[in-house]
Amino acid sequence: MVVVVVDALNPEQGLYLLLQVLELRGDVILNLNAVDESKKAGVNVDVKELSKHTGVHVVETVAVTGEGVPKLLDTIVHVYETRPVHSPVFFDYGEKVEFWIQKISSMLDCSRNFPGRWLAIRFIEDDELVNRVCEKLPSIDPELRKELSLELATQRHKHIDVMIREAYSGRNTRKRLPLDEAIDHVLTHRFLGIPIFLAIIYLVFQLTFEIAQPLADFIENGITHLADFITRSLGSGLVSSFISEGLVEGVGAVLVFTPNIFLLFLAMGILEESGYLPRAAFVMDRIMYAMKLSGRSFVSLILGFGCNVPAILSTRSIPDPKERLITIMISPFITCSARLPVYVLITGIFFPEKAGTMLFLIYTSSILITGISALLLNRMLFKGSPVPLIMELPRYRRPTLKGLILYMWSKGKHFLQKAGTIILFASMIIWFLSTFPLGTSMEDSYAATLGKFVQPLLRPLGYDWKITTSLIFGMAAKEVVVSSLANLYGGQGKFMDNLARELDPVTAFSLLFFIMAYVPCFATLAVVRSETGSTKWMIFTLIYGLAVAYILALMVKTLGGLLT
Amino acid sequence: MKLSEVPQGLRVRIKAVNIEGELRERILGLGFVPGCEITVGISAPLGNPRMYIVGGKMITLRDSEANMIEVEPVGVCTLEETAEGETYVVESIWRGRNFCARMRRMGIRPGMVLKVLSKHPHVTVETIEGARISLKHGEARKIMVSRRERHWQ
Repeated sequence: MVVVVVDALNPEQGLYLLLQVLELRGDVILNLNAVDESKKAGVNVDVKELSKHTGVHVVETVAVTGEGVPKLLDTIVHVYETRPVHSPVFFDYGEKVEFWIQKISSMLDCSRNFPGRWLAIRFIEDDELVNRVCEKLPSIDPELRKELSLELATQRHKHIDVMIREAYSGRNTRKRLPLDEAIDHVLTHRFLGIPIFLAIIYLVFQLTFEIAQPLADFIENGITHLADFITRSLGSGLVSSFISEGLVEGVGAVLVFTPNIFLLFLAMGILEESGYLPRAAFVMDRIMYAMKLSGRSFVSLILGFGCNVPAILSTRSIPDPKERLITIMISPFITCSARLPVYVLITGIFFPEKAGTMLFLIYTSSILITGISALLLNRMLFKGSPVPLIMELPRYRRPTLKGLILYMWSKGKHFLQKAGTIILFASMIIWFLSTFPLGTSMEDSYAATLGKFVQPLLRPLGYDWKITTSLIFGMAAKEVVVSSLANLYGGQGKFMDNLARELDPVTAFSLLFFIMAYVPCFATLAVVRSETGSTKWMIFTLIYGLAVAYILALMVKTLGGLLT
Repeated sequence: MKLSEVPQGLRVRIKAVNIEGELRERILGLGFVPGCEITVGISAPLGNPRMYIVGGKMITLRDSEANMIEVEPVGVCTLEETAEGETYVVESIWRGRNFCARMRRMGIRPGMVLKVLSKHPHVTVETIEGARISLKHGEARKIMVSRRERHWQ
């Protein structure tokens, strides 16, 4: 069974899809959504008339308030149980097209159980799928095929015009809502569009930092008290050290950033639900175009601000294989929310006055690096041509509280899950490596040995073995950098002062850039491998990221050294 | 005329979609079908992509795709395509700031009513105030007008 969801106010494209689905099967339900908006615009829809024309059940809903959803569910059950016996309504596509549909469907030899008419139509429209399910394909003159496919589209639109003319009243498609038009005029303005986009993103990061800080401080106090409490009640044995330093402080150091992450998603939710995000893709497309990418990969990359894994998974919707591969390769440079804790920690210690600005700076450079990498990869791997941008700009909507909370929770819970699994596990390992061999000081622990072994490589950047060790652990998940720094620099509460004493601001600033670009976490690497289907690209991502991070950090360090 | 060349705000009828491949089906499905009317909306900063209003929905297209769609303006034509002795309203003047400014200095601006006196050797028009302006054919091709006889006294 298929439910086709159609925008009640502007149903053309949705009804087109419905007609295409009806060519395939009859157990379809038409769901007219956002009827509240169409009613507000003074549009009247005759549901019975629509149902008569299409031969399917029509249900009106308002998804944001949940109105009509129970009825939709009932209808789904009803259609499933009754299984319409009658064949779907037949839409006549004109004499010539019907003649060829007949002829082609008799020639098509298909082992799978698809309707012949549908297969013939898909064949006329040159769908790859037909090649896959049919063994024997008739040959067709490409000119005739073009003519027929055009006629098909024209006829479908004619049927839709008839439906709308008879079922709709009070609709004017030429005029848009005046307020929408006014907002668009400003937000996509010739000169103001891009500055406004940057200003909005800047504001998002400022708010993320400023509002979250008191909450983060509160959580931090709680965790310090909890760790103290455990130490006091269990004494100073190995078990107590494991629980308080290993688990509570390790995981706690990361949990502190929960407010930042949830607020970031709240802001992203507002941008997406209000309808601004597609406008942002529209405004930025000319720049994406310069990198031979499109607004589509822009949307995937935007997802990357949450987590690189879903961003890479979402590239499946990019039809062009070249664009898809490049989007996958550059996604890890987009600063995911896992890196935010590290940024917030370091900017908070070294640049407390300008934390918001620093965050903005690091995010813009991450976008810049992503763009330059896209261009570079395009040059290196393909002499690629750009991909088209065809996108619908939705109407502006007021975000609903329910929608925002859902959005925030569904994206943010990932962070909490990670804290309970990967980060908990990593904290245990870090504790183990920095405590054993027993009886030695931190300087001689396994962690120190590991860090000191790799550290010569990072010496030009001015990172000591503790930072090196944290960076190595951070490969598991970037948040782990925070918990390992906390562990190696003397535990919750004290480690910030120790860090401030041992690092100079320039090195700290270069560290920010290093963390932005170096190795994406294991999960991301695994997805790169599974999505590109080759280990080669995964290793490439790894080495490319490390090289960029190294060069970038060295540049920042050298320039910073000259300036201060 | 190519869709990418149509100035903002005009309504056009689609004549042909010369796009190949799977993109073609997508464009057709969205309503860019020969015979359909669409309105040209705002353009992004830097002029590309642009937004088109198709059946009430706003669809973005880059110029690289839009220039493969052949259209004709609805109720509008260029001054070059007008008939002698008829009256028209200037809808828009396009292509280039300098050209627009020069036309404005000559007294031609959007919204004004003019009568076409003769088309050879130059396109000569008379404004409602009685002033006569002579334009080259190339210039006349950049001025979009619509018929609106009722305004002429």
